[in-house]
Amino acid sequence: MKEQTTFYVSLKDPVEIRKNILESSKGIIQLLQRYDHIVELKNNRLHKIAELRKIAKELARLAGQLKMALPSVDSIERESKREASKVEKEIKTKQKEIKEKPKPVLENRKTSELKKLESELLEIENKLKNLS
Amino acid sequence: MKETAPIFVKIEEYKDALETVNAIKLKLTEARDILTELSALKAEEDSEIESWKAEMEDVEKRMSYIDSTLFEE
Repeated sequence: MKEQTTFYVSLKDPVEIRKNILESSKGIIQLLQRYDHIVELKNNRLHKIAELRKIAKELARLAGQLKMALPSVDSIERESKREASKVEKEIKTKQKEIKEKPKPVLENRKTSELKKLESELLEIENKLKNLS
Repeated sequence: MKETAPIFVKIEEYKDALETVNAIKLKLTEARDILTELSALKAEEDSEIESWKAEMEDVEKRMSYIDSTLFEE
């Protein structure tokens, strides 16, 4: 039978090596503990993100609800257009009146009425400008 | 300034709108609180990862010492 030879290796500083092995083991266990804590934190964070997503959906639903409760922009625009056409009609009528009006006998009266009409026209034009 | 014709909203709908606005405000506050918590969690997570890295580097150094001492030529 073949004889087995045993070899030995000398360790210069066995205490230091042992200390390092133990410290490494301790460090690895602490790494595992820390890893568990990181996973826990990540799960908490994901849970919070899910909550935030839920709130965002709820906010979208509420925004839709608010939109339904208030009059739509279309109806407001329709109302403004109706108002604008009414004012335009008024201007045309006034202009027609100005053209068709017979010449007044008195010069003073003519001037005052013209001024009145002019101011009315100005007022209507201002209204129109504000609407558009 | 642009003037618009007044728009009238039914009182029930107006109340609904007010309630909805309050609900939205509440939800926004909740969202802001969660965002604050999220920021704190993220900061803690980042700090833990940094510590993990430092701890790992320490273990690597120790292992390197053990390796060089045990298997040096």
